[in-house]
Amino acid sequence: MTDYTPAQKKALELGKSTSVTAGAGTGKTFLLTQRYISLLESGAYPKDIVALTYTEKAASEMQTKISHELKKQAKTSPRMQECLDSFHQASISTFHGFCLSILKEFAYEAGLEPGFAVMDDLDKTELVEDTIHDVIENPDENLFDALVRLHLRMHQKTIRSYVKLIIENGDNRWFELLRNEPETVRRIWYSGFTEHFKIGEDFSKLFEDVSEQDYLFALREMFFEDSTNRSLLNRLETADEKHLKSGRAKYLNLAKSLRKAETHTEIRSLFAQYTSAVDGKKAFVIPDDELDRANEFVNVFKALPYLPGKDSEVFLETRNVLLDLYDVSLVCAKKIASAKQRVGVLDFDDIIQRTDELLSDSHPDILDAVSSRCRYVLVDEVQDNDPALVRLLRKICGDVSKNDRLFIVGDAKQSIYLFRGADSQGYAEFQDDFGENRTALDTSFRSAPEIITFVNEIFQDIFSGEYDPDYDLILPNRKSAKGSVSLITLPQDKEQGVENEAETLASWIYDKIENRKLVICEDDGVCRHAEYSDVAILIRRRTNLGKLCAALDKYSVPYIEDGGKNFYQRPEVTDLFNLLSAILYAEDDLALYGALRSPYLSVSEAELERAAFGSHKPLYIRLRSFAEENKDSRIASALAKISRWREYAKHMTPTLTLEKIVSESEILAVYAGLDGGDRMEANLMKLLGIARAKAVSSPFSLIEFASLLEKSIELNVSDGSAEPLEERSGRVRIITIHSSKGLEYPVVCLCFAGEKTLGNAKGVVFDDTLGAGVKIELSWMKDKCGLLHTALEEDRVNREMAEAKRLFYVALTRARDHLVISATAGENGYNEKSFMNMYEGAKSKVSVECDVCDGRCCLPAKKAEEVSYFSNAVCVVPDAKEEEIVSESDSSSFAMLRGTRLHAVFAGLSDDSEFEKQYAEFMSSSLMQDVVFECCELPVICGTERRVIDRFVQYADGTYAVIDYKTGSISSAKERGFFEGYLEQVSEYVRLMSEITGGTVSGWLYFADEALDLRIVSL
Amino acid sequence: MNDTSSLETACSLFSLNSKTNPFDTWLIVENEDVRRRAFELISTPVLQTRITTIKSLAHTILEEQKAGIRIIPPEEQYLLFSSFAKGIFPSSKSIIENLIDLYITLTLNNTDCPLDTEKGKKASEVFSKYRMWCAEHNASDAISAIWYAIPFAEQMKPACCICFGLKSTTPLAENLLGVFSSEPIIFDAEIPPLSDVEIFEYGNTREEISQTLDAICSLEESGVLGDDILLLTPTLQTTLPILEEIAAGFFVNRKTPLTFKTSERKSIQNIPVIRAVLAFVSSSYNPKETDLASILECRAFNIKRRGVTAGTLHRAVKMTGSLDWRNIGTEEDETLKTVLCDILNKAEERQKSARTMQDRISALLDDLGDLGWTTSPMTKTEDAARNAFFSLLDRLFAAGTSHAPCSIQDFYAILSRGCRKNAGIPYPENETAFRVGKLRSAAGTKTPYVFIIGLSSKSIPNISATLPLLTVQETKALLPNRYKKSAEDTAYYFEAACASASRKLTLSYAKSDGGTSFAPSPLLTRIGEPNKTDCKNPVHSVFGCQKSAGRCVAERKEIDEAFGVLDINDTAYRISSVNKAPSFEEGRFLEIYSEKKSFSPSFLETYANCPFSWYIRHHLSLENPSDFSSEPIKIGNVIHKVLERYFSVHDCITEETADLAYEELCRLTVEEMEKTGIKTPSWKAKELGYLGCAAKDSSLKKLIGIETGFAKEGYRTDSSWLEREVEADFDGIKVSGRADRVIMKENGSFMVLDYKTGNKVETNPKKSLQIPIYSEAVRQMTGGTPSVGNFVNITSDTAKLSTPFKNGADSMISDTKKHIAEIIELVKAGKIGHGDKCPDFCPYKHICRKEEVLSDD
Repeated sequence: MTDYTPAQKKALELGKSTSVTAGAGTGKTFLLTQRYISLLESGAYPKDIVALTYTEKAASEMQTKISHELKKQAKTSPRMQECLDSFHQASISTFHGFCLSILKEFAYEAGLEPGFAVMDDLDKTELVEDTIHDVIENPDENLFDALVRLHLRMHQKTIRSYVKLIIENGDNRWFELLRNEPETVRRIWYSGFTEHFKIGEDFSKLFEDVSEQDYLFALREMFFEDSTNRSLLNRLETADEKHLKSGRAKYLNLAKSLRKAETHTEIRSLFAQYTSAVDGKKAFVIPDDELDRANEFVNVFKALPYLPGKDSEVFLETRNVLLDLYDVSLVCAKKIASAKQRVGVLDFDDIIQRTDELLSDSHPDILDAVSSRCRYVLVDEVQDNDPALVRLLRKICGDVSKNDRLFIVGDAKQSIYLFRGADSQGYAEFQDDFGENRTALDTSFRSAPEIITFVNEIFQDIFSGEYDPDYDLILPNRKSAKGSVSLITLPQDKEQGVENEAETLASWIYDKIENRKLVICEDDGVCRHAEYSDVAILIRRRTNLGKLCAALDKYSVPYIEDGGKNFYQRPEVTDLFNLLSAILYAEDDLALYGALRSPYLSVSEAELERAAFGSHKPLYIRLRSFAEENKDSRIASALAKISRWREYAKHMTPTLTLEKIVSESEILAVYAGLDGGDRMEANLMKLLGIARAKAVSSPFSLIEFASLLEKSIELNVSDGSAEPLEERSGRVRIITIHSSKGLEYPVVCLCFAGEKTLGNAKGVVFDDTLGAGVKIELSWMKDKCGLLHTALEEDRVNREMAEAKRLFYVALTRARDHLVISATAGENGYNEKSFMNMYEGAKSKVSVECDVCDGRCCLPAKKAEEVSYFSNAVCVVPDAKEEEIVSESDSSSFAMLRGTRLHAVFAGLSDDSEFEKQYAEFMSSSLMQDVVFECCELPVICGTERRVIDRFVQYADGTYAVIDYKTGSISSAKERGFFEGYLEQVSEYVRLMSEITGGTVSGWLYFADEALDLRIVSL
Repeated sequence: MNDTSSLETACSLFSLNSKTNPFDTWLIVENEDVRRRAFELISTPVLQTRITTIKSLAHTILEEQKAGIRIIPPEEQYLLFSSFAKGIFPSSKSIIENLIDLYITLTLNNTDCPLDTEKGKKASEVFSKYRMWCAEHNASDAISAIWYAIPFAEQMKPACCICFGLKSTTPLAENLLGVFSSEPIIFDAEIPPLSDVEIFEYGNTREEISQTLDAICSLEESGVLGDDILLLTPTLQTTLPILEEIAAGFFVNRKTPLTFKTSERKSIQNIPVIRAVLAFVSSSYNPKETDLASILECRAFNIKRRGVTAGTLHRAVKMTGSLDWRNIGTEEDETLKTVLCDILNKAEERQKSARTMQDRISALLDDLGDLGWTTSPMTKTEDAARNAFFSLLDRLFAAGTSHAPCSIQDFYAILSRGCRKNAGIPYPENETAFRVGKLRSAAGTKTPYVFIIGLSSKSIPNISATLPLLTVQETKALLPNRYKKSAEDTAYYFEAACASASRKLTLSYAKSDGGTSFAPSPLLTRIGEPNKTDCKNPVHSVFGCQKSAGRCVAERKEIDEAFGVLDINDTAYRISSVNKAPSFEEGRFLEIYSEKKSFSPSFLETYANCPFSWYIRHHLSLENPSDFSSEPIKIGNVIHKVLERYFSVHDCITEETADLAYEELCRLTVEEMEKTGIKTPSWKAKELGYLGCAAKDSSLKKLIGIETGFAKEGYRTDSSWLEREVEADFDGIKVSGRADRVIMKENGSFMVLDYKTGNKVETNPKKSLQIPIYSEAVRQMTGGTPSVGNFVNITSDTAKLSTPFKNGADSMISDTKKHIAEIIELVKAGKIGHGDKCPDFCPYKHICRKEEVLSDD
């Protein structure tokens, strides 16, 4: 009997829909499995339950776990046995997989090609990028001017990325409004702006419906009429140098200049100066009672460059640019959609969108059908799914406050996919649907008490912002475990900050593991010393990965990167691409050079240089000359391999060619000998898998594969490195926080925690209220300005900071026994948007004793010696024979086709007039007289050998005959040397038929063109 | 009579009866694999038609009873459905496939399409048109042939009819069997209890197949015959391609390649000689680089290539960025243009006038004949593929709709589909080949060693709840027991497959196929829990042995024998040399460069920026086609030319001549830009940027502002100092190059100007050597006084002056002199490291291995 915690018990109560908040390590997968089983126990069958997970891996794990549990229970329960028997009908999949199954079933109703395929990211990127490129480079006439205008304002790369973002966003309502009702949009922007910049009503009245030229002058008047300003300016102008902060004397004549200014540009510039003087009291000390009013003006001045007033240049420019981008994106989107339709594919986004459309009011019967089929729905990691999931779940499950159909598990604190559209706000609202039926798991089965206390204490404080979730304390379950929390805090070091931190961390790990200073307690209570494989280094992003690896190398700490850098930028990929290019395109100097110095061929730089230097001819010609003179050189052997592979490429399928190249290059031997070689091998195998998948779906050549690789490398298509199957044990794992989600490690080191955690805003921003915005260049502005970017920036930063806090939470809660945080301070302490800054803010509340380390724990040990060479090993190479090219084809296609047609006519399968006469002659020939039984095209099998006898007949006297027809003449058959073969063939047929029938069989060759029969043999 | 037994028993009975009645003794089995197995078991000759599946039985009946019904091949059925569905359904390929599937299922189940939905009505309309056509033309597809055969079957009255293992016969098949033989001898496949079973879980499909093949090799090495080993999978179609690839690396006794035999055939679509033909057809309406390259590289085409290869084409595309195939390439690429014109003309010529499928096939055959493809020497596999392709063309030619209009796009689509689905060749096999089949192929057979792979929950049971085009409800309404029966059948065949192992059974599944994650099949876990396997290196695979050897090298372990490795020392060398910084023989560069006293500024500047880049471009002189192509490079040439033309006539621009100068510069810019022939929006925007427009101030006007400044200072341009070759002597080191422009004052002072048309201007004086070099050269040539030289940065956005030299002209020259000396010393020492900061785009990024090089001297 399973022991449940009270919270688990509550979550497992059936009879109502339930929302469960499951903090890190509190056993949510276990809970989902138990809920599933409970539903089965209560009478449901696997086909009635839909379980949705965030990843395919999670889905297959859940399926395995449930199946285990079922099997266990089936031994004693016939009911569970019944469920186990029908478990194959269970629907346990990702959200996408679930939607896909609906679309597949209702493809016709959804207006889709039945049997449509799903595009992978590679295909999608290729299609989108190629289409955008094509539209931008060769636009239709009506788009040409828009593109010229865009090119005048931004780089082509920027246009492409903006168009892509608009296509991805897919919501055209705002653009249409912008096109058709610009004034409406301007007013919305205007009010959004004034609200965002907290511009008081007195100011906003001033601007509305006044042209930009006019409102600046009006504002100046207002500025000088304001007593606070007057007093401020007065003091500024009369202040002694000593009362001004150093370097601020430039503001002295500000008021004078402002009064005199004649153009709006001058006024604008002087307002900016005032802002600079007042903002943050930079120029002089402002009494508090004046500061608020001064700041009101400052806010207005700050907003001025972006203010979408009437006839505002920013507004007009933004509108024009957005509409031009929109027009381009419309054309691209249309082309992409028609290309997808032409080949009958959907991408991942389409799957969700089309399901949403299908389950809409226009298809009530389908919604009913789907809804009644999904009697119970269990959803994992709800916080990471986008709003579409919530929409669909609401449609399918109805009012969950009144029914028992839905069971969701999530944790707002672990919502870390904002960049993919995860909607933590939406999740919070969704939880409200459940009314009182909400519960939170509170016991961590993962982390040691020290870590839990540390996490509780700091996150109670950290999660306190507008976008932060509530924090419920976690209780430790592993009370006897002895854990630790350590901080590696390093002072500022401009030059070597990152290197220093990486090395300090490496030394910490080395010291703790090598000197057996860390103890790990297993679940069974047995304790042991930590090993390298217990350690995971978590990083926010891969920027400093190289430095981290170098530091670990320096300390001889074995490690493995999880995921590694972008797949298509990996050397395994670029090396194979270079090699393929060198094989396919001898003229490609750079590819050939790259291939030769890659581990595939490993020609030394010195030898290459000797062979290539001193000529301007194509590289392969230079190398060929060198190889001819130096037959034993590596270059000669490499060129021989390349030309052999070139031959394979000409005769073998692309996938077999690739296998041969991999095998003959012995690249896996090299990878096996390298650190990280497992991943290299896995990546290479992934590449072969990609080629295979492409080859199965459509005609595909090696040239096309090379071209696909080239594009993927150029576009840096997003794809992660492959997971090695066989990881050599005893390695520290380096993993991003995102990838670590759902995992746990005995020792977790969060690295570079002092660095900024946020990224930059996307080029085009979208907002439900304000629409879309883009950054543009205006001649009078120093930097590019973005009307909405500016208005939305603060909110974006707030949201991303909230996400960063959640990332921090996820990172720390991966630790089972020991947690280490390392950080380097900057000039002014830790970056204000760093994890460490969050910690610093909450530090005072931490009661856990943290080990603090502020320097290297030890020095790196001496490196191992280099690999030695072998002298005695015997090398054996398999002697698989290559297919040789056969000599001239033994029959021309014409003769062959003619023969086929003749046989069809003689077998009565065709009435080709060309053979009408021959057939009549044959039927009246002596061979066909007295026939009582006949078979045409009679196949005979002996073991695995198959023969087809043209005609087998039985005569009235009981004897049989085998007849073989031929086109052409006897003499030509003899001349071409075929005749002997014909004789053997008929003899063989006679022998077979004699054995089968046990009777007398004669054999005949019949030359149809000559109406000549020739008795060959009789048995 | 009902009996439960194995295929051997059924075959013995068949042989016995066949001796007396060869034409009247029948053995009916469930599928082609069992049929093949039966032929193997009966080693004496037999009439192939007498051991049959139900589908083949129907064909034989129709043929032998001279029913006169023509059996149409699948591709013809596809064409017929396409033509009848046109106008009823949107003409898309997958709806046709689905309609056919639905038609087949309904026919097999003796049922009709439901008419209560719009799509049901539409489908029925297509089916009825198809049936009418078949009736009119006395033709039938392979499945409907069963129905047609029923009346003729009654007349056959076989002396002996043995049915073996017909577990899941359809109602239609039962009808035929019912009339064919009133007293058939029925054998149900025997399912004995399982004996020796092992169950494994593997990380991914590739590993699963590799480990299985390794075990098979071990068996064969221990003397087990290939025929005694059976590999089964629920997903044969997807397993075979990967199995073929992986098996190619396995060897028995380290010398005999491991092969398999199967009743499935291998698609010909990707065999290069076939792919080239498809590319040829596709090129007649939509030529693409990859297709043209495939044609150029196909030796079976006797095209006059005149030295043109896929590489020539690729280079031309990279250099020009053009996709205008008949005019591609630079001026020197006339041959390429001619060859491509020949190919495209050939591809288009006959197809242009072709209208029907028959026309197109004839045109293609004529083209292939002209191109020598039909008679060209080929490998055995290629020859087999060629014959399969001819047969496909034959069948398409003979198809009932082949005289109907057919667009070239449709023709290509039909050919591709045919090459993928209908034209196959056998997998190569040898005497040791083991057998491969799908699960149901083993029912009732006995094989000592059986491996069943791919047992994930996604593959088995893999029963679609729906019929093609129909929903779950519609399917249920039509065939209420279909799902249940399929599930039972699947379980039965799985059990039967397991039971076919007489000595040892090995079951496995993989957790992933490399992308998707899988759970074990419930059918598998019902037998037992999979054992997680430690990933071992397969000892019979070349890959496995190579990996072991590599590991031994890395761990410095001795190796007795390294199978699959050509030279272990070479492997050791390669492992140790990967990612090492370049090293050369001592004195090599000294030898080359010690005598060199004359350099170009580009030589030195490139080294200053990135020694590796210098090494590739200047030392090895490797060609980089993208150097010739991009718009930034072309705009540079345009602007240089414009300014050269202007200042060859005018010596300066003053405030008075500014307006005229602007007009003239605009005219020259337009002229020069037009000459490039580029007509993209970005090019037009550049032009507007230079000339000026509402959105952007003219950068030429900004340039004029700069020029009037020069004029005010008294600088004038002598036309002889435009684009002039100059040479500076730095203590015996001569550096010569072409100075964009030198402006001079009457007092002899001068300034070197260097035009830059990119957005980034060098700010590091150490990396900017041209201006000081030219300044020194002009000083030496004229005796004048140099001023600090400037970059004139003129882009379509702006024009501005900038200089990285902040410390006056003398310091500029003397510092540069030092830098030059340093660079030459580094060059002589052969220091080929990498630049400290790589640009965003570097053509050498993927060959430099900078990130992989661990230590750099």
